[in-house]
Amino acid sequence: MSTDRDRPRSRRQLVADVLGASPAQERRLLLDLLDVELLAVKVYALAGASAHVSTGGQALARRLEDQELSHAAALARLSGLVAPRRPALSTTAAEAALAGHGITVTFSSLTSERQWFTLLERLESALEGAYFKALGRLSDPAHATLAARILASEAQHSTLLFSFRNPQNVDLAVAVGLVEGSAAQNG
Amino acid sequence: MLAAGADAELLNRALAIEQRSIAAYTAAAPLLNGFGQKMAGQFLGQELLHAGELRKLVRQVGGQAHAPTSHYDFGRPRGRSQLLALLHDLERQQIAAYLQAIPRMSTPFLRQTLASILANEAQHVTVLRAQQGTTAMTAPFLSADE
Repeated sequence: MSTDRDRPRSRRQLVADVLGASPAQERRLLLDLLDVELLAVKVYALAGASAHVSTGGQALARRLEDQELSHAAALARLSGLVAPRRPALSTTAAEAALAGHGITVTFSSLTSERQWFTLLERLESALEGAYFKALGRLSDPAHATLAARILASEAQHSTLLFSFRNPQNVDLAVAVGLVEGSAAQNG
Repeated sequence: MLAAGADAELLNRALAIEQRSIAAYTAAAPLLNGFGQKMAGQFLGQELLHAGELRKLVRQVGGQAHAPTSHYDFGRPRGRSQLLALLHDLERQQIAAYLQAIPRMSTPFLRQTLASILANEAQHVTVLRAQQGTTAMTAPFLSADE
């Protein structure tokens, strides 16, 4: 199967490989990542409080919500912002933000744990995609290292979510050897 | 070409640990059964993919990819728990190598590719930890202590 990384890189891509982002672009990349982390905090909070999710599922959602909040705090510090509390994002705003990441959903229509976890799995894929894409631009090695550590954390979240619903299916839990997230983020 | 030389050296260091892990998964898979065997087979395929990517990157930065050594000494792990502990330890070594290499790579493209491999190794550790009966994921930021 041919992938993007097998194709010859254009001259513009080669120049971008070397130069990376300017300081202003770098900060913009970090703020974009912060936005998607705060969206994740909101969605996990809703999942963790949903009556349609089992006690075990709620506990996992709350644990991952705390980790997303830690990611957001680290990104805020790097961007020179005050560490965020849990976001005061309305469900309507969260639905609109998810649509921006290629995920169309209405929270009130989620009436089973399977539907909630499918959403969370897609959300994690979007997070992976956002970090993977940012890593191709971030110039500062310290920023790139943090992004890589968080990308790895999001990949672990995906594994935990798939394993929760399919405990004996390692093909689903660790599906691909190169974690790049959803195509909607990488395009 | 100083940066390219440093890139090639770090990439070859990561490749050496991948090759060691490939040998370990190859040896361990037939000794495990059920889910453990399926897991080892799945992870072996992914380590082979990583090694291929690293060889390609070494060539792209103008270096020469090191070949695997003919023999790896893993001691004599006995039983499932010792095999899983060996695989877990190798995964930790890989994570340490990638965390060390990523900030030292000379371009975002190289860092991005290593990060996509690192994330997969983190998933391996998550499954291995669960198989060992320990907490599958402990911290919000991946470290070599996983």
